[in-house]
Amino acid sequence: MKIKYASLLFLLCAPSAWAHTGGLDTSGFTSGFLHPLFGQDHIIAMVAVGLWGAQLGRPLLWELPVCFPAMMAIGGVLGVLGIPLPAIELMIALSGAALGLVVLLSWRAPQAAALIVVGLFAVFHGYAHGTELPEASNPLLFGIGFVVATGLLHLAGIAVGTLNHIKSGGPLAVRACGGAIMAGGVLFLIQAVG
Amino acid sequence: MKTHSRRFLWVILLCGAVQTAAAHSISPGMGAFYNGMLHPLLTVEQLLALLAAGLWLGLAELKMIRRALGILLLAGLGGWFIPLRFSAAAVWIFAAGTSLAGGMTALRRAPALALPLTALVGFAAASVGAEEMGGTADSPVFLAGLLAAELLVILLTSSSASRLAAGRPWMLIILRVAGSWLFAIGAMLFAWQWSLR
Repeated sequence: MKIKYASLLFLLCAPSAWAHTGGLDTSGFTSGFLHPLFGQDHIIAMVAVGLWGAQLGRPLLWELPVCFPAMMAIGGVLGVLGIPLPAIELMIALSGAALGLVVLLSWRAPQAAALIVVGLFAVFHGYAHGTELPEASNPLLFGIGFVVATGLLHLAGIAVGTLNHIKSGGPLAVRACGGAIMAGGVLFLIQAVG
Repeated sequence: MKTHSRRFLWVILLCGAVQTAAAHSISPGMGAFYNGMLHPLLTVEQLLALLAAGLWLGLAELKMIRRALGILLLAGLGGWFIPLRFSAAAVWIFAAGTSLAGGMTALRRAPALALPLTALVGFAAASVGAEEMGGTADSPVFLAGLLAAELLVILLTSSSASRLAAGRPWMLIILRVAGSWLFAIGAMLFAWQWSLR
């Protein structure tokens, strides 16, 4: 039964055939979907949110993935309207480093603190996506694409975070992922500052 | 396969059929009824608003869902016969409706406003359909298809959401995450419309 479900879902994912490849598709959904996936600074931060949620357990396991898109939308709105926010690239790079660090340290943050940290960074990620939204030929599909991709990256982080339940080395592996993310974030931070 | 799983699968399948909106006859060979049915299903902003309203309604009691279907039917008829000529304003209604219903679903707030919101979305969708059909001979059949699609989407999403909300805790999480995604998409659609002014 599960295979039947999966097959149907894969069928839905089948894109139209294109005879040529002209680089990044800017038509809408594909472009929006690829936007977070082609930016490594976005990827590491989104995955870190999922990892941290998995470490913190319920209710933050699902509250963080609910909070992130909502706050990202606020950033997206600011970006679409052209309302300036300071140090966008710096904050996005910092988000990777900071979220990687909390995963590495396995910080058991209070609920409100975790939501504030994740929500704050989400605004900057959303802003970066939002500034590109009006340039897409179909901004609505572009928006749907990047929201879905963001959610799937959280899910990927949560999936990796389930290693935390494996007693022999699981938590260590998750913390190691956090360390790798932090290192990537620091690298992006150096690039952003430089 | 359980009934609610099948319903949920149908909703996913309908979502997968989404394409860019094309005004007027979507496929001339299909006839007015199916063209009417496809109108809200293939217009992304309308479909999103209907899905969001359906999800939010799913948090309500069954009695309220039944009432919503009746109100949606009346609102759709109203939207068809009242010549507001406001397709530009309708996009605002769809964006705000998607955002509001999505946000309320994410927060799991009681859907007191879900009934008027569903009616407003149904009204706007039918009004846009009427404006695009322009009173042709096939209009009543087109309207029947359009209303059938609106009712179908609301029925399927609200009943699926209702099952999810009453199920295991992780099922409710799916519902709330979907709500937050819809909030995000609706808010950005709203901002984009604002930036075009």
